[in-house]
Amino acid sequence: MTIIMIFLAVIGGATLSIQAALNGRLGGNVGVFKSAFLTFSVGALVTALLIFYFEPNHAVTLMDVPKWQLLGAMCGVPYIVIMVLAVQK
Amino acid sequence: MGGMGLSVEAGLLGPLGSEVGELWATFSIFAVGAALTFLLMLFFSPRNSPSFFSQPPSLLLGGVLGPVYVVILTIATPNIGIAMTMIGILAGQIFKSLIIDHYGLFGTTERKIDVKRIIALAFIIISLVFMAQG
Repeated sequence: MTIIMIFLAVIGGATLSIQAALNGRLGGNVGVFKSAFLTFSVGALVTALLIFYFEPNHAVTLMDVPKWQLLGAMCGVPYIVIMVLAVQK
Repeated sequence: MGGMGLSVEAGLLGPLGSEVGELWATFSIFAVGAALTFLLMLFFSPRNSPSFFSQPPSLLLGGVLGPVYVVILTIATPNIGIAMTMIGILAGQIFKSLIIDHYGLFGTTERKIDVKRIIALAFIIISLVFMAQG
């Protein structure tokens, strides 16, 4: 189990660096924020589709959990913006 | 800085994912992120920047890869812990980045693999093994 999870994490990291390369290049063409917006909006669309078809029902929804648990996104945005800026340098 | 934000994100996502489901947790990240970056883009983006539709489609794939990563993050963190997940991610990231840099894939500048870079990768793998045993 642990091995599979580590393997998954390594694949996740590899995807992340492909994404960094692509986003950096896109950012150079259309601007940092525009590139970050594309990442998040397409990501939201893809996950919305996945939820629609694959997600089982849960007793707890996003509206019920303590609000601080929703702060993760606030960390994601700086990451994407910094990544786009850094790859170009 | 970017990396620190990322592991805080992983720490928050793990528990959230086991409560409301991995996909919902991922969705919360992307929905809030899209809203925030839309505002940033609206007010701070250079005017008249080229449209997405004038870009080669392959450049736009970054958006599709994002969810893959976040879903993995959400699934792996509760099982093996944040530190382990991050090192795994790091290993994959560095390995793949070396290849991208080496061949100058996706239009990035070519930076050849040298001994230093190989040693760096070896250390990451060693730390992964140590963490797995501990």
